[in-house]
Amino acid sequence: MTAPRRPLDEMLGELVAGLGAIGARGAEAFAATGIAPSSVEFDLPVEASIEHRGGRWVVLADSPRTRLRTEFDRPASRITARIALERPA
Amino acid sequence: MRTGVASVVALEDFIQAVQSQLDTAQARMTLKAQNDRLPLTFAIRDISMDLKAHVEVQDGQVRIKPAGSGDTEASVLHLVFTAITRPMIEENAVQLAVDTKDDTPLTELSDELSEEEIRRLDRVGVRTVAKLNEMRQQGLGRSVGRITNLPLEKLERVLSRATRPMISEVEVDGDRQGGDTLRRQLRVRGRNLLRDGSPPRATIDGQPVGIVQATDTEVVLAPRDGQLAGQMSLAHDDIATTQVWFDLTPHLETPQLDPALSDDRLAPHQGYVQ
Repeated sequence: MTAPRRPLDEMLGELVAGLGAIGARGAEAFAATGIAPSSVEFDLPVEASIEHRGGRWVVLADSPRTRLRTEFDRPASRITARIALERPA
Repeated sequence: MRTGVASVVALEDFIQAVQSQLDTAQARMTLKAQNDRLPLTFAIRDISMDLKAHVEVQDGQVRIKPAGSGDTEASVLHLVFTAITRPMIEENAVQLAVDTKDDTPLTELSDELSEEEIRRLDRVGVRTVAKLNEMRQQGLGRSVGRITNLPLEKLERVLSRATRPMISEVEVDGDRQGGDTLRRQLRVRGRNLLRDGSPPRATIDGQPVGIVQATDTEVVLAPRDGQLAGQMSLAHDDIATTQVWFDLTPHLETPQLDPALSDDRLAPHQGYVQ
């Protein structure tokens, strides 16, 4: 049984949420050094598809289920997301 | 309704879905940053996507089918999205008035527009009849038609029918018995009685009637002899005409109803709109 694929917005939200620790500690580092990260770029393989749910189209994009691709797997697409610092402390 | 995994989807629907989901993700992240009171926050600045898919063009529309299992010959579609700020939206957007609360939503025109067509108009911010009319007045009708893939003629037909005159009441001013025919007037109340500031063409039984004054909710007509009953027609154009039967001639005796005639033709003030 495989997990259902997540919508694109959930996957991106999780990426940004993962940077929360940088946001929390970055302010202290910025105060001490005057240097802060300005952006993080993710270049990820994803399994992408689109479904019609509740009267609208929803793009599903999630990490591949396995590292090795076989004939039974959907070929991986790629997503590059540049996540930038929104406002300095 | 379609559900489940799509086989083929229009590229514009795919892009619209990504845009909508990016917007959702940004809103969720903004909310989280506000709630967590983080000193440094991050936001998605831009996204590029190399989507493996089959691409086809059908009826002038680009459609894609995301690659499935064992699909080694799929094309790669490179899509780039960038986040734009609210000031940029406001700077580039066409200045349009806010919808009025008593405006007719396009969803009420389901006999004229399909669900999909209403959705396409919604995507460009056209959700009401007034907004559609406003864009036509600004000369943007052709652009709306091109962007939404709706023929201009259809948009004009829909708009014409949605903004045709509506009649709710007809009454006579002055001496109904025919004393002073020059001062006798027909007062027609309703809505959409002006279009672009001009009153509709008015006829009674095919004969033109003079218009004394007009507002969007009331038109005053100057009927001639014999025009106090019949079929009144009001039209702003040749596409949509509103017709109503009325009879305001004096009835000294209660007429015997002829069952062969419909009630509509006998009831004064009461008309039907075609």
